[in-house]
Amino acid sequence: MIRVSRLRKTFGSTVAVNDISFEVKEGEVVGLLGPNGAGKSTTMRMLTTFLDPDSGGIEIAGYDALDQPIEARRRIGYLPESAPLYEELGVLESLNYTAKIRGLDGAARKRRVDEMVEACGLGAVTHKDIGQLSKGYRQRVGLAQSIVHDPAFLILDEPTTGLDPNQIKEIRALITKLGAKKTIILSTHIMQEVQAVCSRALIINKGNIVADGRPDQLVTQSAKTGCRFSLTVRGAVRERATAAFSKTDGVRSVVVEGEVGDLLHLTAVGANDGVADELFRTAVREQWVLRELRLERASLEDVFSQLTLGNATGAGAKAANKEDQA
Amino acid sequence: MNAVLCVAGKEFKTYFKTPVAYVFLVVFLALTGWAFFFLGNFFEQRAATLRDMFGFLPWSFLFVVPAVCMKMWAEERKIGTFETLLTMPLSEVQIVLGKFLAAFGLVAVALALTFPLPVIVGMTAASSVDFGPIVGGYIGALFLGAAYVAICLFASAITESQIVAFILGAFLAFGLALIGSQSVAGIFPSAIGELLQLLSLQTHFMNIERGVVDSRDVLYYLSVLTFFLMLNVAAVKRR
Ligand SMILES: Nc1ncnc2c1ncn2[C@@H]1O[C@H](COP(=O)(O)OP(=O)(O)OP(=O)(O)O)[C@@H](O)[C@H]1O
Ligand SMILES: [Mg+2]
Repeated sequence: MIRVSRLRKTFGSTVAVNDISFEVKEGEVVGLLGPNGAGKSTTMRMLTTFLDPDSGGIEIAGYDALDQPIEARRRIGYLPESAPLYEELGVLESLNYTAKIRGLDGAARKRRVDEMVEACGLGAVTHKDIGQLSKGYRQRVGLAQSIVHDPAFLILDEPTTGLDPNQIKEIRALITKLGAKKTIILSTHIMQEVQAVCSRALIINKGNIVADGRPDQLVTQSAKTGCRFSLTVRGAVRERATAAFSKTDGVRSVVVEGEVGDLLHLTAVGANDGVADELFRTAVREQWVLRELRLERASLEDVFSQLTLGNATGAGAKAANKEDQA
Repeated sequence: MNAVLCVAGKEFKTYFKTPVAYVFLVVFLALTGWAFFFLGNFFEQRAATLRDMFGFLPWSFLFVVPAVCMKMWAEERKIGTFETLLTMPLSEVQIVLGKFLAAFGLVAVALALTFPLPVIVGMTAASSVDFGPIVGGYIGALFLGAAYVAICLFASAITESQIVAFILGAFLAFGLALIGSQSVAGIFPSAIGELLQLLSLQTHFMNIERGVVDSRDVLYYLSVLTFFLMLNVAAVKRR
């Protein structure tokens, strides 16, 4: 159990983390989402006891992380942003060093290091120095080091940033595997990542939590604000099309996105997904050829930009979310 | 203690993975050899002591000890391992001590490698050799080296640039050595001059180099050592 209450951290006049409270239960995989500078890394640095908060409390597995940082550290594995490693050390050397510092020794250490090599797929690079590794392998070594002492909690700051699509998949698979046994908090900019690996998303903006819930839950909530349809029709005049679709039952707004030859591309926002039927009928009535009619699912991306591009909407969604959970 | 040795062992091994240790040893031995043979005018005097070699140590350490220490913290800050290291289940004191031991270990190795010089003195001296001052000199050299290492380690802890760490370390150590020299202490009224000499790394070393291991000098070095290690811990705690 991680319990964070009213955490605040400022750097000079910059408020990095304003007032953050949340709890993470055993077995959860929580994604911290937020734009650059939202305060994700700073929050993680406080959770790992690297930084002391200006105010607020952190409890890790029952230990007050501010009073007993060493006890908290024993239970946490931490992979900072960009997986910093000692370039001069060999892969095994580096793992052994971390294991030793973590208090593992003798046969137990050797076994554990072997397990990490196996679990993180490092078999092919054990003879190399870290300075020679590709970004993907560095990330894996970083991950291996952060779990060598088998911590209950794992904190990963942007674990897939800078990797190619294949490596991203591999690292995510690894995280999912680890998530079966550990409580994980990871930060990311990538929405699919949250949908792929997290059981819960925390969206942070300007040092505050603006949404908290299951990824699909957040998406459904935002869907309440309407469904977006993408339409392409042939043979319609711009003004006529806008007018006709706007008058269609259930449609709230229509925007012309573009015109290519005699094809007209529009976006319509409707009250619910049933509006698709009405849009179809309108096109038939006007004798336009309907080339495409697609319901654009609200994605976490939409939720994210809604919540982080303006403070007012953010606060509103948080409140709505609270009601939903109640 | 185990954790301290673990950090120290890793740091010490890392020295020999890069040219740092080798360059340090060669430059140090060259400077020391030069002081012994030429500063001491060895070929004409055939002196029965190592005083000139020891007397030069406060100055040769100025070039080489900052080089040994500059990477210790600055590099960790630069590449970000500072964050992983400080979230290990160790106290800042343990990590600082580990790093100190590694750098001090390298300085001790360098001093040990000067062993041919006392042997040469023993074989060639014009008069009989009193080994007391030589042993005293080596003990003093270790204390002096430890103090320099603590100073330069602190310098490394407050920047992420190795160059800045080098310059700052050398500057601090130079200052602490220089204030005791006649040319600086002499220009002040005698009371202040004496105080400066009391605070100087070099004057205390002169006593030890004469072969007198006085408890006041030992206390002095231990104070400098503790003071800068504590500053180092504070710098690391500030993050
Ligand atoms: N050591 C520091 N000194 C000064 N300001 C800092 C420091 N660390 C973070 N900040 C500031 O605090 C704010 C939050 O930074 P933080 O690194 O936590 O954001 P983030 O959400 O991790 O962003 P990113 O997605 O870019 O990694 C930013 O405005 C940043 O400039
Ligand atoms: Mg960050």
